[in-house]
Amino acid sequence: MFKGSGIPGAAIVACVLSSQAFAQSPGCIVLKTIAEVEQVTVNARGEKSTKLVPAGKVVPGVEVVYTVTANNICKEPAEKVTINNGVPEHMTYVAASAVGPGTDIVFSLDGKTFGTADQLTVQENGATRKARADEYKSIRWVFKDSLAAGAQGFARYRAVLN
Amino acid sequence: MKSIKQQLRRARLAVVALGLIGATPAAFAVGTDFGTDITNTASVNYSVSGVPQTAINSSPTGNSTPGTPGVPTTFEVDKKIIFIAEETDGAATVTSPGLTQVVTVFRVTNTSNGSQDYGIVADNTQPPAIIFGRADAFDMSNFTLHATAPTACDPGTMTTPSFAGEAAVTHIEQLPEDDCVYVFVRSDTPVSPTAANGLASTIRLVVTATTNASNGVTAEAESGVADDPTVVDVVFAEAGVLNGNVVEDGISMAFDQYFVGTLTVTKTAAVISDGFSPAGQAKAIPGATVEYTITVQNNGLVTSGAALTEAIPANTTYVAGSTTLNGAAVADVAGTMPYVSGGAINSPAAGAGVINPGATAAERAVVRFRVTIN
Repeated sequence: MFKGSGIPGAAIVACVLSSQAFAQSPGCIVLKTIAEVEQVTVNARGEKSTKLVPAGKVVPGVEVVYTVTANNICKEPAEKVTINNGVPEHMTYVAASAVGPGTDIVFSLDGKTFGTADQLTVQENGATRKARADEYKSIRWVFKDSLAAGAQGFARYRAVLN
Repeated sequence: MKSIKQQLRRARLAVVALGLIGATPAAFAVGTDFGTDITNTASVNYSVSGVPQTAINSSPTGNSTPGTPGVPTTFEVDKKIIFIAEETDGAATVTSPGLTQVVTVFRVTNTSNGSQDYGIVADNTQPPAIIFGRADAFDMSNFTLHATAPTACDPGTMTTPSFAGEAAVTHIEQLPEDDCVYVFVRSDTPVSPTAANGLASTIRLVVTATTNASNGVTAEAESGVADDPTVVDVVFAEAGVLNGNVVEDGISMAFDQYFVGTLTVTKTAAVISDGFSPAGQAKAIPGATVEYTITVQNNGLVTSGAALTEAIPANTTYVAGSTTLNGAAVADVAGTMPYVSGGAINSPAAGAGVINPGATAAERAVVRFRVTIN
């Protein structure tokens, strides 16, 4: 099949490649992560308002808002949807900042074992204590219901740059 | 203080990380280095019609192709410039009229999240309020600046190293984060009477954050409002407000003072014995013996020919042969206390008339003599 030389052979190879690409595309969910920071503006009347702008000027100590959206682009509902996100390297999770409508949120200290805030413990000086939020390394949003066709799942948390 | 809190928090984190995964804790820095890319990729698992699907990784614009790495959502850590210039010894540097290249010492500490260049300039500009309790009375001239090599700094422990012939500089090149350099400012004292005993000159060291490779010439500038996640922007975060400093302007100033030295003379009297009371409880009654102690301290003058003239107090009688200089007997002159007619004094082990600068017993000249109360 690949013995042919010259242009016809090349055309066949190209055809095979494109069919491989076709086999991978697309899944049922479009997953998008954006990083933003809060910008406080004061209007002419001195009223403060906060809006999220793309994370640009980020220096140590700045809080970044990560928003993950999952859009179901298939005609069938997506079941058992879980969004996973590791807290980025050089960043620290901000306590109680993870939100997600219709989700149960669990955390992990090692990216493997997940549990609620009450279930996570740390061994320190021979004693067991509850893990602190700044020790969470990974966050998981478990959707309670199926994500209907065309619907969007939403997950958000904050992390501060070390 | 915030950075200390952050360091403490990071220290705790490092301990936890060590316990959990055996990671080696990094040296405690002021923060993530500028230029570091912070990447984040989320993933989603789901099923369709009961069939688990291949996980999908996120991208900044939305990814739906399963089994691919996705595209990390990334921003670059910007430069948070924090630094301080400080005067080191909390006191004026003593000089003498006409003395040249007198050294005074400052410290510059970089707590930015990365290495930073600083331009340094010394001048006669005055702080809003006088320092060390003395007004500025004359100007120094011919400023030259010299700096030590960068070293790790303890913010709580300020030292004042001695100038050791470091080369003259106009900027500090790539001061690593959490390191400091000591800057030696050398300048010339005007001659008398512009510089006279007891007068002071206050000088300023201005330290400006400058861009790399500009040899201290081009000041760093804060980026405008429009942010670029792929560019290292600059944020000024230094906090100093002492002596006219302005927070978050990329400039730190410190002031020091030159002071034309003086001799300090103190005189104390102690009743040695009154012939009645137990030792240590003698009272100043007629007949009691009183010892006078005169201490002469040189606050930085270059001395020669220092002499003391002292009178015997009224209503007392000199105890013959009781005069000592630095503990050694000084013979009476004309049957009375030798310094009544004036005499040279000196530091222990120094030549006649020479009092070495300093406040220790090895430098002070101490004269003692005794009288009895009439």
